Amino acid sequence: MTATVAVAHAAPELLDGLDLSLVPESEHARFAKRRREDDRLSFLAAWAVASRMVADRMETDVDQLRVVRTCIHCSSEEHGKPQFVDSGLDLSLSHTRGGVAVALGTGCEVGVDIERVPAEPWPPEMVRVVVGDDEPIPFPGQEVRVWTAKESVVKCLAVGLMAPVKDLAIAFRPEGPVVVRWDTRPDVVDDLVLRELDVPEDFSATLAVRVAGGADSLDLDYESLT
Amino acid sequence: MSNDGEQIRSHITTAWRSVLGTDEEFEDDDDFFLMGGHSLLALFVAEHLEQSLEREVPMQTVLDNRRLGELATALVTR
Ligand SMILES: CC(C)(COP(=O)(O)OP(=O)(O)OC[C@H]1O[C@@H](n2cnc3c(N)ncnc32)[C@H](O)[C@@H]1OP(=O)(O)O)[C@@H](O)C(=O)NCCC(=O)NCCS
Repeated sequence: MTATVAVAHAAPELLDGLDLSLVPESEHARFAKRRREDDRLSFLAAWAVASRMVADRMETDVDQLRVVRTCIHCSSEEHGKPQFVDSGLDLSLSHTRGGVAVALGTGCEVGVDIERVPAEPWPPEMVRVVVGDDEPIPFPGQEVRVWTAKESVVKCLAVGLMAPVKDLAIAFRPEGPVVVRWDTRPDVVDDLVLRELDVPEDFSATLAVRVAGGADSLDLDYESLT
Repeated sequence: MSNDGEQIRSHITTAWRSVLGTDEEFEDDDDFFLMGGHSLLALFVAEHLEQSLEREVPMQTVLDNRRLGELATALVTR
């Protein structure tokens, strides 16, 4: 089983080469609706990176790629985890101001999340929303790492944040973050592998992979585009 | 919109401005996620609204009602 991960940062030099022709047509209208310039840029960068990776693997051109979404909660085709049709790859992408992350999985499901580390520590009431009472706070001031770990999991299984984040407990062990409990999907806990991605220190990014057999059955291949 | 609705709308505007770091005016049709919002910021919005409205505002309500007008209506009818 292989999960391929690319992490890219939407730096100005990347912007030069970016335009909508690098992104499947289905995403153009979604791009146009975004109001903020930095948000448009990271959206474009994430989709351009994902599309290029998928087109390379499918040995085709980006304009041949088609994207579909189906919400597992309401079956709408307007939202939900996107996938490239006929790619045989599981896709997850995340975009935040100045940083994007893309994960492609073969024979496994993937979820990725990237966030900026806030300049100020979270207020205690925020910490309480994200971190459960049974979860030791691993790095005071860096609770965003707990958040990216949790969000990567809910994206991996396509449930999104309809699953309460406190139902999911993460432990940060020397070898990295581990899902220790997930009341929403206890059946998948043993198959979930988490990896913190190597991103600049003002970002936090985590990859979640659901793979039968856990970490022993997984190969990670980083494509760094920074 | 009722007085109640107007007041809630103004609390939402304050919360959005604070988490999005802007002093923009918002329309009822504005979608939080298209204004630069994302899920972590949505969580901050829920938290912000809980403080200002002094009642529970589930994250799901903020995620399901992405437009200002929708969120105001959802919070009035709750
Ligand atoms: C998916 C979600 C976790 C995204 O979080 P975010 O921090 O705002 O944004 P990120 O940049 O990390 O990720 C956004 C990407 O996640 C992907 N995504 C969207 N829904 C997803 C889902 N259910 N599962 C996995 N990935 C999803 C998309 O690729 C999206 O990018 P795009 O809009 O450019 O296609 C959050 O918005 C969410 O939970 N939404 C679902 C709400 C829901 O299910 N409502 C039910 C309606 S019936």
